[in-house]
Amino acid sequence: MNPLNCKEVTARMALGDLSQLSRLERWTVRFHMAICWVCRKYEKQIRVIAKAFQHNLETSVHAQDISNLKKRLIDGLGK
Amino acid sequence: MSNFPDSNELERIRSRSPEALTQVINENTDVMVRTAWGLGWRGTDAEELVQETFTTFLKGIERFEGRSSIRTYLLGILYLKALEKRRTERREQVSDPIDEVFDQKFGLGGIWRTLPKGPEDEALAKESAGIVEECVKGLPVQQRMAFFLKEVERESTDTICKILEVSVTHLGVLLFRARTRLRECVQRKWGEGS
Repeated sequence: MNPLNCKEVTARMALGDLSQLSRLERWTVRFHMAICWVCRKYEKQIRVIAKAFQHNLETSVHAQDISNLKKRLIDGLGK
Repeated sequence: MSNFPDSNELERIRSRSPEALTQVINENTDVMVRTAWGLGWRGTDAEELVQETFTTFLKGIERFEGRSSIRTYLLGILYLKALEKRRTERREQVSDPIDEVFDQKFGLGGIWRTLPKGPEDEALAKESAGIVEECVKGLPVQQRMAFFLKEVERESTDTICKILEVSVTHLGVLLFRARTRLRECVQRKWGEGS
């Protein structure tokens, strides 16, 4: 098997689940990530974007609204 | 009841036991609301989407066979409802223009042609939250749901495939496109701001 290049590694990293790859491919992806700082940089940026997305949700969704909705849904069960 | 319901729990749910259904609501409303928001619904629209999801769940409760967890099953319904509401949106295509954008990043031999610029410091996550919010809006529902479940809810590959009813390979394509599209958008807006 030829070593994977940056483009192929980035595509495989998207699934974020290396257990879906063959053992050899998994090792090749890990090896590439260990030696390629550009691919590591790319992955880091994706992590920051995901974290910002999560931050948005955590600050926007209010516990009180959820609790009110739960109450309405439970009340609606009897109808 | 967060995992697969046992036969007793399943029977209670299917016979619409108020206690069992109350438990379903108490345990799953949070994730449903978060997901509705993650998919771009806000305020009362998000609440309506969650309410409709529960209504559909209750209507077809006999169809729930307990082969997935309640959470997975409900998220699957919520996802279909979200797709219905965005019916006008184009379905996932075999080819997507974003694939070409991604290809252009690489030179011969599949090595990066240009260095990817963008936020890298986790401390910047808060500052870039507004930019990301804007960029997430540009994702089709299917890609958005895949990215949300994977990166925010940290669901397993199998669970996401069940919710979206796609193969592992297709999920890989969806996530790859979502990531490329988001990163391109953030990079562009990040450049505008600096």
